[in-house]
Amino acid sequence: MYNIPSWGPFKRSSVSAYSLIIALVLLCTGASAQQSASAPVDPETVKALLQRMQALEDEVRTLRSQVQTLTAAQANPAQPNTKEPEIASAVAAASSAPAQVAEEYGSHSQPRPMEMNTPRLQLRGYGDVSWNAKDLAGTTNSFALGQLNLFITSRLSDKASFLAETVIEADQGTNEFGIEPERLLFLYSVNDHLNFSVGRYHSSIGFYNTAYHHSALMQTTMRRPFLFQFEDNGGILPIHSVGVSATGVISSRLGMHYVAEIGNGRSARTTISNPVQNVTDDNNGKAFNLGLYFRPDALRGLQFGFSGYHDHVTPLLSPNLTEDIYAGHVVYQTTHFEFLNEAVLLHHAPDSGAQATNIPGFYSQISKRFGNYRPYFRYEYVNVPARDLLYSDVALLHGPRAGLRYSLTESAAFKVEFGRDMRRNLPSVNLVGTQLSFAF
Amino acid sequence: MTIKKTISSLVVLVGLLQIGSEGSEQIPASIKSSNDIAVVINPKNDTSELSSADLRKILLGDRRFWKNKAPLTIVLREPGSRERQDVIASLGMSDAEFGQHWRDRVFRGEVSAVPLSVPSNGMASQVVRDNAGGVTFVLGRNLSPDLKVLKIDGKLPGEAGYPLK
Repeated sequence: MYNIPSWGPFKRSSVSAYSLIIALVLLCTGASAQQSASAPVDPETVKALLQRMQALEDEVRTLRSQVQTLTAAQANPAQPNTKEPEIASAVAAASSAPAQVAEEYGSHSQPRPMEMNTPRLQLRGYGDVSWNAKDLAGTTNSFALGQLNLFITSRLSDKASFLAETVIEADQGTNEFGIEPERLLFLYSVNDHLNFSVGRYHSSIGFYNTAYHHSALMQTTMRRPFLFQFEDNGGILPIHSVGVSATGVISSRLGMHYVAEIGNGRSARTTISNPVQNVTDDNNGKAFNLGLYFRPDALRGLQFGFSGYHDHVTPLLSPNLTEDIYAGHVVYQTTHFEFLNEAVLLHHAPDSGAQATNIPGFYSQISKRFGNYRPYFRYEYVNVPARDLLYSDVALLHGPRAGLRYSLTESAAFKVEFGRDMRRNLPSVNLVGTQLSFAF
Repeated sequence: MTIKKTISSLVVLVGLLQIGSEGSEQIPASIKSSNDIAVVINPKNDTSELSSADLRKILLGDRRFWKNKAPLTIVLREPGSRERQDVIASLGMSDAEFGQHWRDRVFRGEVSAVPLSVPSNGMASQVVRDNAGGVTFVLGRNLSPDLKVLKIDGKLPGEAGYPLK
């Protein structure tokens, strides 16, 4: 297929050889011109010929790049054993490089296949800036830098890749910046039925957590539902974990997928330590999460599923407890319409034999796109009993959010949002905020 | 010596032209003359037919492997080409929505890269030729004879009911 040497004599041929070929071409052109003068030309034929010419020019360009590769390999004394198959494999590898590579090198400059054969980092970023105000006594309205999210991927082979989502974010209390790898994963795909990932991941509890990760641009609203708030922002779910995850298709016909995760889980929420157990687990028991979800072909955009999570939590100042989390979701999402519904039940059973607590929570969100505008509405609810050992400070929290998202470009959106937080035994708080979120 | 080189050069040129003319004869006239978009794969791939639903899953990244376990490599023409426009339109998406869909999938860790975009049919065919799991979309008249054309829902390009018009 890559019979490059046949170009050799052509490349080294003398001026007279070129002259003869040019003469032949001119002769053919002349004959063609005479024919066209005597017979009408079908426009479709001309169009087809032009396209054929374009295709041939493209092939010539490809062959030239192969010749350049051959020449470079022959000129490199460090690789004396360069042979045609190696060149072919280099070009083949170049051909399977990620799209960004083709976009970068394909159109306007010569491809560099030898460089493309190595893993290449792809960097994309997300950021947001907000202004927030609420009518709670003692609070101030503030501009706020959101998360600066540096998203890195690297395709290591046909089946292996690396992914990292590193977030730089200021602490709400101290205004000091911190940096944290929110996701850091080595991914390996065996086939459509088995995909492994190892590292720090977003746990597959429900839908929201693995749909939007740390990108404010990707989510419709300004903020995540409280139910799926990050651990360091007061969230009650184990959003992150460190361990191993497996996902895949069970039945393509039914659109049935599974997810299975085993990891360190999370520690009890404290102000002095990171609740994500990145390096050291509080106990020898591991957290595991099993889920099934369906994306039926019959109704495109629909996804529904459920999951069960189990862990043992060992707080410093209260008795150990077993945590079970049951989650279910029904989501309908197209490019113009979304209707998200999720419900979660946390069950905490203290080892001391004290009465177990149940924490129900749900949110329902609906939005529809009209051109660049997307109005949205969400209602959310979480109810933590006062005797719960981990999250009693949350108590009952519920209320609506209504807003409007305006897409400035494909990579930037402006949102304005109003909300009302209603809590047990506390006055209600009205919220207003705007946000500019973007990708770069 | 010069004459020998001249003759060898001519032989190469004639050979190349011959290859081109032989190729165009191997593609059935019904496909070659059609304005439909053929789904083209590597000849070593044992798949010969896909359903519209399977094709949709491939294009959306829901299916990432062939039945022979080769990882799929989707090759599309660059934005603005008819092949790309029609293929993406068959999903009910705009090019921007298609791009966003794939970027989101990469962000979620569900795929490692967005589909390859190349500036020409020749390059798209070359990638598929070089890659056992490659698949691309080419107008019938631009088909390369050494690649395999898939039936979609039992139809070849040019036949009534073929979905990628």
